[in-house]
Amino acid sequence: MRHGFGRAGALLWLACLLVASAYLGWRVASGLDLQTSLLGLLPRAQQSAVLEQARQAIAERFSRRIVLLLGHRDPARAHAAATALAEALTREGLAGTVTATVDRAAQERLGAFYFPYRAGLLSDADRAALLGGEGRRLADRAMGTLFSPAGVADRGLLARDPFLLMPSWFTALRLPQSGLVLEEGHLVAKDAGITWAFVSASLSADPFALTVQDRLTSVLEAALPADIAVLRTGAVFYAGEGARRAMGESSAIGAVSMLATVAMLLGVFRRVRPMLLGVLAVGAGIILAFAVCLWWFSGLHSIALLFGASLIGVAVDYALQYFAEYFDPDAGLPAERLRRVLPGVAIGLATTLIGYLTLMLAPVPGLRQIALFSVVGLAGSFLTVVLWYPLLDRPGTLRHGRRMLALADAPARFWTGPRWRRLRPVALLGLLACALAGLPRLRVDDDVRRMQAMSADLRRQEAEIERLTGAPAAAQFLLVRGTNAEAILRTQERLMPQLVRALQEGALDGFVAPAQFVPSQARQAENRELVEWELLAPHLGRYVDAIGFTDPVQPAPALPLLPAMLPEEGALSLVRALLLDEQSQLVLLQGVRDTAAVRATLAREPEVAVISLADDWSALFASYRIQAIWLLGLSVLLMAPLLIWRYRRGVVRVLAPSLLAVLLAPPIAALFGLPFTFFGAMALVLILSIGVDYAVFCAETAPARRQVNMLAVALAAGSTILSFGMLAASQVFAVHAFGLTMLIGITIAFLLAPLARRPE
Amino acid sequence: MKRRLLLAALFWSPAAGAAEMRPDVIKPGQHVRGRFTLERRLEGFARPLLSRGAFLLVPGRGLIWHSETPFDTVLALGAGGIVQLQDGREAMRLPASRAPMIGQLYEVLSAALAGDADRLSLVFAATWQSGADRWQLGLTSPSGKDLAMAQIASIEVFGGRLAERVLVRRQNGDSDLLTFAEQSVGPAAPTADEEALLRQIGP
Repeated sequence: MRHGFGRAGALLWLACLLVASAYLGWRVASGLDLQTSLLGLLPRAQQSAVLEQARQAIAERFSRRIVLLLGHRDPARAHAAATALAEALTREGLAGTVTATVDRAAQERLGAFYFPYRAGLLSDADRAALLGGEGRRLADRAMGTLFSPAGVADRGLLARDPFLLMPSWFTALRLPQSGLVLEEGHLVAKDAGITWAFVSASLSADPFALTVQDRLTSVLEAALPADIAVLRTGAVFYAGEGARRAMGESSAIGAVSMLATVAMLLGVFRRVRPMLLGVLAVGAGIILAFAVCLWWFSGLHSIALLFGASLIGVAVDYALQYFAEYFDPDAGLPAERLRRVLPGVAIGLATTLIGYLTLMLAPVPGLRQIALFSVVGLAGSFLTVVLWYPLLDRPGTLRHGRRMLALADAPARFWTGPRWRRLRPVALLGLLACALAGLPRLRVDDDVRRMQAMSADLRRQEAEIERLTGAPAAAQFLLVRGTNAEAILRTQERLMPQLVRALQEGALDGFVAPAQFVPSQARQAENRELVEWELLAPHLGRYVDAIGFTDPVQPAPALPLLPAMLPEEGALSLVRALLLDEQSQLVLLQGVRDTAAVRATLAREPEVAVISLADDWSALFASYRIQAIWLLGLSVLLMAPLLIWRYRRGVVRVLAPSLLAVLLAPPIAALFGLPFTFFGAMALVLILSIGVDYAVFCAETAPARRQVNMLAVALAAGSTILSFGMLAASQVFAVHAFGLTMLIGITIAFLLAPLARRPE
Repeated sequence: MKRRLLLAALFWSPAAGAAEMRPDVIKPGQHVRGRFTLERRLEGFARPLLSRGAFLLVPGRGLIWHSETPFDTVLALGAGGIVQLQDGREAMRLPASRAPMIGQLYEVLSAALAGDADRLSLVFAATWQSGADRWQLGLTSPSGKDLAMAQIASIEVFGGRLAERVLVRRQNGDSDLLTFAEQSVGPAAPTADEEALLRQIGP
């Protein structure tokens, strides 16, 4: 009867796994798209909704921009490359708008857009001249232009704009890319004999999607000849580089950890079956976890997958508990082996699930993905062990394990044997001394710029592009709010003199504010009055006579220009992108060298907030690092009732090893120069739950089985270090921080685990 | 300077004796100074706009156009852009990246002044006529790719050793007649003020 139930359960479990495999296969076949942005792992609800919206808009509108400079000694080759690339980007549907050439038509379109509203538009200098009563100077300038060989005014323009105020307004319009000059219709920068042709584009798809990154790379490779030098910048390139590295590392670390684990199992058991069954348990867990996560979150982040792939080390622990019974001559039958280890495995699983489930409480999407992956994967592995092993395994006992058992039991002998009695306090004090030595070096670091391990080569290219084009790629923003667009524009007009001052003081390189391109209604009305009373009324008659213009001068219509009228295409598309909605607009700050100075400048402006994505995300990392510590405390509290119910006062013994590991790992990691980060804190959460597992295995074992159990714990710690600890080798700082903390913490937890044994 | 011109004359004499008269090409490192008259005829105006002054061309760097009458204006024009001074104060500044026409205008004017017919015929369809000591270069229908020049209908350049007259006709019926006089060629030696201006508008 019992046997029949076990068979039915095993079949049911097989059905579950088949469904999961089929779903996984279908998802992979229909184009699995892993997310790669580290920021995509973070929550969106932390700050005020308006700021959050602004941030999202910035990410959507500005993270899609790419800028490339194509260099060659022969200008014609550089031009041709820019044209070819622009065509390829458009043809492949990768980019919505591409700027590689500047045609006269674009300039004319811009002119045609502004011309009807000319009455209300004055450049800052012209406005200052009129406010200062210097209308005469503007009249003289117009005459100078008319008489110059470069003068292009004709009767049509003069009749509508006699003092040529529109050309002056255009001249003063500060569009980015001031370092570029025009050559054969291309924007180019000249440097050391090389002509760099400028291409900018706005991607039509998510720059953080791997497929977009791959397509862009292949388009660039196909469109650009080998002799063209390329400088590139844009979020898509950074993300692509990060993804390539994460994927490469994930498979490399995963492969090495898998091979090492397999070698360890083969070496210990000298049988293929434990290894095959172990791979089966882990594989079943991963398939189930992958499928459930894809279904639940509808997508998966590459870092979640990276951590998930490493879960193999933890999932195999339960199988190892079972296999170690091979060495126990009293446990010859598979069902008997399972019966013996089941209490330890079940309690271990329960505490581990509690540890991982607290991660689900973190309002951080990536952590929830990792948590669900772990919980489902571990449960899957556990069910595989319990339901399938008794059916798939064969009876028998291994007899070659004497030396290994003795070796694995060494930590236990150290803590319990009489021989090491004197050394025990010395060892503990030594460990504490290491931690104390590390304590002064322990510092907290939440800077997102360091965590995202940006490619040094891409940073160099970005700096080159900034130097050559004069258009800094890295930008910060001001969010300006108000009751309506008019109020916002007025705030900007009040703000701009302060920004100009900050610019002159070198706190920033430049700024782009919508009000520069669309003055407020109040300012436009004021400008109309100024032109009427300071220029037309006193100077028009004399001026027209002096130049001998005979056509009637037509008064400019008093048409108001509104922000919503700005064209979405062409040169003003960037400005248009700064308009968020009726109540908020952005001001783009370029090359901010002194964020504090800019913040101080704006301190007295309640409607203005500085948005620095990197700074804000760093603050978020800090708050989540603190949250992770709380989660750690919470998971101890959640585990406690179960452990107290099982061990009564022994709960102290069971918790002590992992708590010590958690407390000592960060200062010891600091000895290796590792700052304490959010990722280190996450490692502590895992160290706690895995460390409690080891202690529970030790506490659950009857004295006669202790050597066998200790071998299982040693193998578990070995495989955990092989998988999680290997992450310490990662180039991605976040992963490295996680891995190194794990390596140290798990080692301590393993060495101290025998302390949890019930006293004999 | 005289020796230089003499040398140039000796060098040119045998060739000039034949049918072809080619203008001197001002090479980089040299400059041309001279006086100009600009007679601009615009539709809708009672009379031509007439201005006079002095110019300096440093090939590869820029052109400084100093109108003295009817009032004092300095215009500096180069591949990098344009600067206009009024009573010594900057009245206008425009980088070439903002106005494609500026760079083109500079190319045409400086090529004409420097006698560089080859560069002009890159932009325009050129017809060349020359006598024993005179030549005439007719430029029409800009060759399509340079839209910035599209508003120019034709340019005619007349000259002897150097360009003497340039007539620019625009599509809208306006025209500019530039007359040059007292030109001198020499090693480039701009004054400090000129040097400062050239630096602002250079490539």
